[in-house]
Amino acid sequence: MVANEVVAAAAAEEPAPASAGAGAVDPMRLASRWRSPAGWGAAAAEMEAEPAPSELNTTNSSGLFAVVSTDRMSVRYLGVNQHGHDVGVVQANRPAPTRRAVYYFEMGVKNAGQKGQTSIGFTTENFKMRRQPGWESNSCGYHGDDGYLYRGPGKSESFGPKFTSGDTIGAGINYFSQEFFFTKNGSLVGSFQKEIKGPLYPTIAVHSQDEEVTVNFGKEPFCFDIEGYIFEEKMKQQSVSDKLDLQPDISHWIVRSYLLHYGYQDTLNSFDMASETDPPSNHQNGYGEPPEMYGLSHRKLLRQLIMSGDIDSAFKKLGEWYPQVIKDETSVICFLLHSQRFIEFIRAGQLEDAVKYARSNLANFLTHKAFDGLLKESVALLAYEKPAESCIGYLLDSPQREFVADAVNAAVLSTNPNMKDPESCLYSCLEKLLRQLTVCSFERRAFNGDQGDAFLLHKEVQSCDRSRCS
Amino acid sequence: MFFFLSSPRLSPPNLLSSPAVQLSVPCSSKSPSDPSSPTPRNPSLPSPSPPADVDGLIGPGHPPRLASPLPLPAPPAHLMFLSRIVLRDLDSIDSPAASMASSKKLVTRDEWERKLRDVKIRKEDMNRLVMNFLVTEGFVDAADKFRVESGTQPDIDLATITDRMEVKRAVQSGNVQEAIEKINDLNPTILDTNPQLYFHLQQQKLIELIRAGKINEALEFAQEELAPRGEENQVFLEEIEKTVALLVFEDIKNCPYGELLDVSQRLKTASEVNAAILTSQSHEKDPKLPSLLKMLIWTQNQLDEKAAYPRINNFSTAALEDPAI
Repeated sequence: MVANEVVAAAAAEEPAPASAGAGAVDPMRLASRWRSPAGWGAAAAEMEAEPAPSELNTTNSSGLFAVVSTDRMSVRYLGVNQHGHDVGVVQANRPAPTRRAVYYFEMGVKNAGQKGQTSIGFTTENFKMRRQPGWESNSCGYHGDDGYLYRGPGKSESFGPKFTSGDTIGAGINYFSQEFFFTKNGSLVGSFQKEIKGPLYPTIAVHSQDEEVTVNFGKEPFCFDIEGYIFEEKMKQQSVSDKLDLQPDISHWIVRSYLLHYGYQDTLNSFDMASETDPPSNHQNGYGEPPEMYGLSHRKLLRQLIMSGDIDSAFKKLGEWYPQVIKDETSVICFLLHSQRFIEFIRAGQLEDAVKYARSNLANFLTHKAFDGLLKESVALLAYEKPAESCIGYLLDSPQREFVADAVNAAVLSTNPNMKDPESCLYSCLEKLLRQLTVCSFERRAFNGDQGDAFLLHKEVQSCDRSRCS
Repeated sequence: MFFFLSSPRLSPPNLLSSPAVQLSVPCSSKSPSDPSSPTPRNPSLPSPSPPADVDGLIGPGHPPRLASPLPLPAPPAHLMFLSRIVLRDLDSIDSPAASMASSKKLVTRDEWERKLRDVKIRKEDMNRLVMNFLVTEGFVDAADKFRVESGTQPDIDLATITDRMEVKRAVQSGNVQEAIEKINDLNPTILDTNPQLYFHLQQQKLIELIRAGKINEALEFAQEELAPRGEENQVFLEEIEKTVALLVFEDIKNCPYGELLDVSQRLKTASEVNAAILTSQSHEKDPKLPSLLKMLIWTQNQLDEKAAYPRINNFSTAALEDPAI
């Protein structure tokens, strides 16, 4: 979200007011965690965005031997074929995207024409645009007239069934196993090692009178269950790493330290009680006490207050228990709490109080560049009759409260004189591990020619939901 | 010297693909020799590669792989950091091992931490991961408390956890008959569709009878219920033979199949029951978290082949360890 990015950027330029002395934590760094739903969508898109083929390329085609329809989704052979160098071959407008587990597209044979020499495959950018995919080096193709697989000059082999009018043929790249695969009418025909490097263009070809094929880059549902295929590949992938051994009960330990970190004390107590009565009661053994016992019941209460919108009490309790956290009136924590108090007035419909509060408590922050964006958006809530339905309505959602509660939690943790690692105030053990996994996964993909999908927690959590539905 | 201090801000997040951090020995023509560099001989010194260079490597038109590069505060203790790197790298040039490492890219702790910071993780998603663990592992009270405290909705009806845990606990405490009845109350198709699970429960029942010293009852049960199952399946038969062998030994603790009497056998059966019930409820039978942790081990191992970078070896502290050079 604009607000948070601006704030974070500004906070980065000048040391945040709150970070006095070494070891202090800048809670605005938590801002990078929180965005509006739209902001999250944009961020995810940015991470994975990669242009994908959408239509056939009409400029880089042989032109002479075939005609592409005006919607650029089908191709028909012109005239009569004479030899091996008058193939009507067409590439997609863009190469297959690589930052995913699998790329896949389909071709429908509308008319197998005189000889049924339609084909499907992948070619590189400089492919000779008058040859069948697979006849030249750096290309591969599955051909309808003989069902053979072609993968370069002189390299052809019996592969699958022939195909003809009415059949739907698919071609895909499995980036995890580094294989090409083909399908016919929804069934897998076969797969083979991908040896071609560089960008690969989905390619289809026609090569005899009246032949006509259509292409589907995913706008229409595929004949082949590609979701199921990807799911199975994922399972295969997972079964490789699932064979690895973990430290015993480490998951249990990580969950426990997460509950401690965020001050979810009631959950923690139930969790510990159940762990004791469970036969393998040695859960806590071996790893020592996490450092986050500090101020646990205080942090729990502060979270409850903020999550219920009672900012006044949160302020009071903080002043009682951790005065150093709010001592600096211009600190990030004070700003977040004040702006949340303001938001709570808006939520309650007390606009007059909101204005009064803003004048006496928020106006001072206007001089701080760091708070500009978030502040402006909060104040803008006043402008809407139904603020919850406005474009900044996300400020009224509970993730905003949680964001403030997490920031206060981090600030309280940072007052622990025994805290050795300021990073630990911001991030739980779980989060550190997930960050490491994300970076490792993206770096590994970068080394792998940018091929394959990388770990994103959000995608992973969603896939839990999906697999449950299926 | 100053160029280096400011370079982290200029560079896109994915510095791994930058030639500036490549360890290559000896100094090749490719290595940047910035005139302002204090140690131009040392190719492994991170130096300010112009953004254009890096873009070229990433590929034109491709957005940065990690999230948008927020300008971040300059790393602390630059000077110490710099000198550490120089010393380390000079050492490695002299050592014969350096040529071995030359194919690997070095990612310094500083760069790595910046990448880590750029990762965007939703609190909500972490909450769901934790909820998934509590639910799948059967911490029903904790899951309920967590729902209240964190506002995370469980991905299954919590009441079903209670039933599942009762069955699990029955097996764990040796009340196999009670467990079988409870499973059938829950969903009679579970045992019908899982002959192996049903067999293992029956086997467990026999084990419990032997443990309790009810020899006659055990024999009767083995002959009437288990023996017919052995005829249909070779694996079952071997299991039956092993279990019945327990009857022959007076000192069963020291018999060759004594491990069947171990608590771990109960736990094994209990976890099989747990998984079957979860599957019947269209829920994954394993929590997500352990498999993500394994994925982290696997991914780190894979990345080791290409780069030296700060690893996390101890998952309970999640502390970064300096890359070995």
